[in-house]
Amino acid sequence: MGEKLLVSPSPHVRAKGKTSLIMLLVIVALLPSCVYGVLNFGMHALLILVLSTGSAGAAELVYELVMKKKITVTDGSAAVTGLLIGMNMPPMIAWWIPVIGSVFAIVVVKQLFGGLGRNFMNPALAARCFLVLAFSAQMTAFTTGTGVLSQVTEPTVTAEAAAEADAGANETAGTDADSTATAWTEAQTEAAAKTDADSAATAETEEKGKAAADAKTDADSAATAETEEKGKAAAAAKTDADSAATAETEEKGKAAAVAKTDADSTATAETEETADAASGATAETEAAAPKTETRDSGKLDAVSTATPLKYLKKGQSFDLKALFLGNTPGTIGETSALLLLIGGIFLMLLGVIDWRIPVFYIGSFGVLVLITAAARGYDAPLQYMLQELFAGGLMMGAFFMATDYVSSPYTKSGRILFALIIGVMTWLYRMFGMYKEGVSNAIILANCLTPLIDRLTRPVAFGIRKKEASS
Amino acid sequence: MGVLTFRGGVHPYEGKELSSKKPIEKLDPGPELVYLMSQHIGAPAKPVVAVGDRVLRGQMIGEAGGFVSAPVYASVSGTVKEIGTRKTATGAPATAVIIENDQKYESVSFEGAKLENLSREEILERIRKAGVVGMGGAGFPTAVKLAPKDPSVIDHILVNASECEPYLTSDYRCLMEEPEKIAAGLEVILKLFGPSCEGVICIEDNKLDAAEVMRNTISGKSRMRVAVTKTKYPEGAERSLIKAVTGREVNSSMLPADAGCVVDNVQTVIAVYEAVIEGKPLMERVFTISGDAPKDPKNFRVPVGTPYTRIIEADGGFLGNPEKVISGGPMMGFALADLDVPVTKTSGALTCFLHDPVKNLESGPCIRCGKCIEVCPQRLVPCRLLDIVLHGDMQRFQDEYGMECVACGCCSYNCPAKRPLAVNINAMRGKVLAERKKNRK
Amino acid sequence: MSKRFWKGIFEENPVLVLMLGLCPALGTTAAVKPALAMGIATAVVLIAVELVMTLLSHAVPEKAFMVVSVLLTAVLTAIAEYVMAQNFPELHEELGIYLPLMAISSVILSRVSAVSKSGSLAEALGDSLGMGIGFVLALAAVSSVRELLGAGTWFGLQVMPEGFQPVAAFSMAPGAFFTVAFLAAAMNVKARRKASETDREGE
Repeated sequence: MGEKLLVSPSPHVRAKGKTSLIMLLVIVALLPSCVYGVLNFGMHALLILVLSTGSAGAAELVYELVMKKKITVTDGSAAVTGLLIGMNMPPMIAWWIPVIGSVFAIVVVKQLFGGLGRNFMNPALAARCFLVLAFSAQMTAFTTGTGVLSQVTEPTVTAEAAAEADAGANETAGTDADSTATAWTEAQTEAAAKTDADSAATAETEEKGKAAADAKTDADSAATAETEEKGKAAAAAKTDADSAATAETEEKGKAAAVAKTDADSTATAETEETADAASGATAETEAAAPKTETRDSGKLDAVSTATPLKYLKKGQSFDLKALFLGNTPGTIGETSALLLLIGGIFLMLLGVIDWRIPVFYIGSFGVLVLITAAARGYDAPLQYMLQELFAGGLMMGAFFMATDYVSSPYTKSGRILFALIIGVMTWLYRMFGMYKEGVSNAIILANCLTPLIDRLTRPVAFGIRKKEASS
Repeated sequence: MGVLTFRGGVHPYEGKELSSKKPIEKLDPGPELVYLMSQHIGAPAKPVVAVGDRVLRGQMIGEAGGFVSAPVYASVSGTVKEIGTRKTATGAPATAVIIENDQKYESVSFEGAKLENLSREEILERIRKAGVVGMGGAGFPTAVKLAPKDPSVIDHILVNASECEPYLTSDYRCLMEEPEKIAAGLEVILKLFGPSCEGVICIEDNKLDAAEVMRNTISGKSRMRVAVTKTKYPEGAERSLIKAVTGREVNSSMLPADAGCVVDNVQTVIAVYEAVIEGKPLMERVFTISGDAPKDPKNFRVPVGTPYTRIIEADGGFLGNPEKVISGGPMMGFALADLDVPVTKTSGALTCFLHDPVKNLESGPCIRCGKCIEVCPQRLVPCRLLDIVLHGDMQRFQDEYGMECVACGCCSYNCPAKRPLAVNINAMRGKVLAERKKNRK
Repeated sequence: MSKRFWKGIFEENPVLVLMLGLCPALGTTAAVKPALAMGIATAVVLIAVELVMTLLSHAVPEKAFMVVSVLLTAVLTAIAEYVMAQNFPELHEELGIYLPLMAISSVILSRVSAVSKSGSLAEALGDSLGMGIGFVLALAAVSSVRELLGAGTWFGLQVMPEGFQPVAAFSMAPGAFFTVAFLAAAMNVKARRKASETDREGE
């Protein structure tokens, strides 16, 4: 025995698994959705994903070099954050926005608070919220894809739309709570056309004010709105060449196109709409809207459109299958509920994420939505609930965002409480709030409550209660 | 039989198959044996022989140093070569009597006895005199343990044959090869307690054949039964065992007796039998040498005082240069810097690895995954306790139940960030205990 | 006295170091013009109150000191508001509630209670001038960042190039917090570096 023996404290064996392995597994679970996103939305989406992931890693590396800290980029946590940020971007967003988001997430939310293990909020979600605040127009400009699988499905409009009229109006202002900013954003994006009618129209168009579409009492306006909404050339077929032109111009930058049809009524309605957005009272205008438009799918590339949530917000129904599979507009990685579900189950089976969070979150949200839908008298409450589940960022949030170890509680009962809080908050946001998307805000709120939840659910050590009882 | 268990725990690779089928072999202890005077909890024993004295096997060479103490006996015949200082497995120095083995194995005469003729006090006296201590690793003097303040509250005698540490198979071989001694020893112990007291032999479900053997051995005997527990580390930890078998919880300020239980390792029970019925003092134990480094992992019957080097030699040596040799099992054993350490009443194994499994593990920041919390059998929050320890906050450490830690190592085992949880929490525990001791004086 | 003065500007800048007056610092700094107005108004009132209270420090009993200070500040705030409303109505409009809030401004009240009680006019003069100017500078800094990034202008003049996409967040509350935080951090870094330098000099 010539060699020296190694001495270290017990235990001398360890379970397999490291931090970096966990991060790798999360990335693997996210890949199917990413691939689908790229196939659906085109190569620009791939660029976004690569840029966001890369800049997150780079930001961490640079920060650690400058602050002379241990280089931890290889543990993969920055990559996960970056990828999640990328998956939260609308497909045609300018490249520098996710980069800013990644840098913000890594430097401000994660590193400034102490690095890995110390972020008080999910960095990807915090970045998403920051970007929605900072660049609301770009972050809410959704388009259909230019990718291989690009097929946009039409929504089936139902009678509930009437009941949900104001919700539709409200959502116009819903991107950010500050209506001033909304107006400002609108003004910004329609920099091109400055005529009154145009401005109003364009602003309308810019926003997701598809509610405006419904508000129009004449067919033209309706056609125009639809075109804006789903960017379906079909609207053109519906009325006349003007509408088609509208759709085209829509896509190009939304200038006077709308004005071409019926500038007055459109403008009036839309200005009204914008005003309504600010004040929130649109009952009459909305109610007058025709409710049974049908749309054909168009073959335009990258037409601006709305996400399914807008329809749901108005009580309209959206094709369930499309929602589940992912043939809908939305952010790059959030559309396919199926693939996200598969990824989530994969992680749960491997023990990477605790099943309690997604199960209790989706469960509580589902139950609450079901009850609300039934109470509101929707046609098919169960179907509506499923649509709410699969639309927007809920699947992504439930499996990949809320389950972030650092910002979620570490006790089992704590996680259940956490998930229930998010479920209730998301329900409140989606059903009663101005926002169309409540998931990010709900999760962030719950993240802030995590230390409190941890304290509340701290276990009583083995044998302690008994002693107190007997002493 | 239902599967009994407790909450928490981990499932490390068991490694039992390396040595479980090998029957216990007698070991020639070699020319020199080292008898540490401190092989138990309590005051060290005091040498009662002098250099040059000839001693016989079974002769007392160290007398008990106090009430909570135990005598030490020679396990071979020979001459006292030296009374000096030697290192224990943890590296601490201790007084030792070194005896040169004359290879004759001449013994003193052992006075046997019949159980029905012995009174309770006589039984305890024979156990005490024989120097029987807890052979599961703690080394608490058994005679003291078997004489609690109020014997009438004891309703369970748990014979701990769990052997939850990976690689160790000595207890298992005892179950398979000496079941009658176990039953007889349990009978002795049961005589010390009232008729409502039941003896339970606790075996993990990875040793079902041993459970069968024990069941057959005790069939017909009253007040005895076999309980099978779920195989999990640390099933053999006292508090976890009591919880699994009886459902009762014991904390750090309580004794098992407060929960009506007395827990003894299976080899301790055999030693009780030998002490009381055969009149033999505690001189030897069953020992496992295993891991991927030894040429032939197996079980030996080892006389107390045998150097580890001798065991390794008798086993045929190592397959290469091992990076780590552990006295005990991989979860709670001590990594040895020096193999020149003697076997004591409480040391039961050598686990030897060619490659140190924890060699290049870099510890990272806590990612709050909660994996440590899931597995802690004492329902602690190890990651938080480590934070408190790193801040040096002794008061908060105690407030958050840090003193309840049993040092099982499950938390460190499971942590994906490889944080040094167990060792630091234990270090703080030691600090607090030392502080309390200082304040008591 | 001069030491107090310089302290008020950098080392103990009321907003960025002492974290006083955060309300106006966050609420009025969306653009440079209202921020400067607020800052100057506060500074003027601060100087007046601090000097007067110092003069009165011997006459006013200990227990009544704070009450008198608040009263005096409130009166001067009312006067300042009136002056503003008469001469700069748009600014007055823009500042909204923040102007009357000056009556309980933490900058004014804490400086008064810290310095005026000592009774030294020189100290009070140095402190109030320093703190006042420091406050104005801090508000100028925060509002400059916010206006440049949030609207591309400075004091209403277009500064940033045409293609610049303003970051809406900076015109709003979150941006305010971020800006103050980063500026405070920058001051902190500077202070630490200075401290370690002086340490080294001492060796």
